[in-house]
Amino acid sequence: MLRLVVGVGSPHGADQVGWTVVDRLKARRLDDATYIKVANPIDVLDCLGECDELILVDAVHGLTPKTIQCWKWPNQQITDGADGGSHGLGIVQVLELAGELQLLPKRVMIIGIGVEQGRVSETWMPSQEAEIDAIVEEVETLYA
Amino acid sequence: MDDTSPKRKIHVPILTRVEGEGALNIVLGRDSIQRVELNIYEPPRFFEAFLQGRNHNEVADITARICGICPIAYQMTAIQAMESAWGIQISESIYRLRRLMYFAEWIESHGLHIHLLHAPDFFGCASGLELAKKEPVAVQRGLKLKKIGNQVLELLGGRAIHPISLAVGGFFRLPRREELLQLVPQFEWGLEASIAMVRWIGGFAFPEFHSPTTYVALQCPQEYAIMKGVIASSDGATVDVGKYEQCFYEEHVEHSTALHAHRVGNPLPYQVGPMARVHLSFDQLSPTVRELAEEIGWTLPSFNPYHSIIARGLELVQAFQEGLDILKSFEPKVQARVAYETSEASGCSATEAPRGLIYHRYDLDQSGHVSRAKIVPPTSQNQRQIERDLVKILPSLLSETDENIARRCETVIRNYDPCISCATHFLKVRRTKGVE
Repeated sequence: MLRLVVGVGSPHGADQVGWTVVDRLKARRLDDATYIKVANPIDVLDCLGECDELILVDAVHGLTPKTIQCWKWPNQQITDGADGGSHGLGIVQVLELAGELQLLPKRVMIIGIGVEQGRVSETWMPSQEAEIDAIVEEVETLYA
Repeated sequence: MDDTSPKRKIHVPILTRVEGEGALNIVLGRDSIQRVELNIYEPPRFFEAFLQGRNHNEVADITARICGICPIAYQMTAIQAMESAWGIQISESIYRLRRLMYFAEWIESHGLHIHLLHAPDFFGCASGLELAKKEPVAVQRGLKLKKIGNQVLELLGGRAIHPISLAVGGFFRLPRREELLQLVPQFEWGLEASIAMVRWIGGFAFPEFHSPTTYVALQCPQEYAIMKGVIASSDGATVDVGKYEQCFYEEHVEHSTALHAHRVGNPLPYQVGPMARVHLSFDQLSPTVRELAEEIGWTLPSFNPYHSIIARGLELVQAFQEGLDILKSFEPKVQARVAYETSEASGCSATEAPRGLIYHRYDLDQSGHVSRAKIVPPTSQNQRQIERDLVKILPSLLSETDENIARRCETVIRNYDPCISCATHFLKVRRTKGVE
């Protein structure tokens, strides 16, 4: 099975959690998945190719900070609550578009990691290695 | 109708399918337009202020953060301004490689805007997703075109978002020839696909709307101007880039956190962007592009802002065609970066971002640190023209429902592909009725 794991985020503050987790997963080399990072959710569409499974890892507001939640796509819960904003398409809109264009693999999973509102400029992440390691291990179990 | 008359207030709190966030406020009398304000409420970001004291080598990385859609425009304009300050001459080969990089940004930005943000308006669709149901082949084409732009930026810039290879004096790293040649098939496909796209656009039903303006863009006799030339306007005036601040100025308005740009001595708004470029540099477009414009029956001058999607489409063809030539002919056996010395100096530059003319000026000290910066993005220059278009179109909409008025106004705004985040200000619409 061709698994694609995509970290969504940026190099800034708590928003980097998706990228950091994907970097750590890639470094652990526990499977032969393809790991990539994107800053703009629409760039996920560029990466779908021939994968059988897509796993998106992203920071999420609304979850308790540093907790993890996993959603299988399609999921009415996150569709209804989605607000992609106007600066490009959000993950939900991108997945809907990919579905409409028949680009999605059969299995799609979104792994959300709770971050605090307004913490974008702060750097709780790299400085707290143990927390990151715990998050990475939990994420890994979710799709293992 | 006097000031005590009942008024309709239309407030669009968040404009959709634009880059960034802004609102639109409209106050209508029974049969008159009393106020139209493009309200950009994104908080000011103060880039010019926190560039002060930074080393010149940091400027490109910092200014790239102004926009995730057009970082190259900011980086290139900043670097050219500093090269101008210190008299740095780059080789023709490096210039052409930078031009390819700039084309890649146009491909990415135009490809996305045409297919997912703008085209839905011509099909009565509320979103790119809706358009994908009606026109899946076109939307897939748009995504693939955008992806090609990303690939070029990844190769030339090191990464697609906020590239890191551009340097004062050239590039930190040049691509290998075989890396460039690997992109040739994609560009050959992109050229054919973009031509097909223009024919597709040519079949759209364009609203009848005439909004005369003065177009302002770079103009260069040797090429379709992007990175050099004089600042020309459709009223015949031209000005050297070095005199931009003598001829243009910005002012703050109460309803927007974005500055509004003006021409000195001319109270009327002006317009930058693809429509301006195509009008002022039509002769510099390739014969293929000019014939394509003729084939779809588009004649200049056009003052229908809905035609901007045609201009954007033609520029996409130009980008692929010229980019293909650069890919095939570039010989990387050149010096990646010329040496230079810093000194106390001031330099400016203007280039053509996807959304229009962008201007940067930097005052630099002896050690190459920024003592003062000035950045004028395209959207701050187009805001007044957008408001003017809204004032012009609203009388024909007065009998419409609030929802329809808001929807039509948003289509007017999207003609400009405004980048609110760049301008640090923009749009969202909510409509209420009542007595003010």
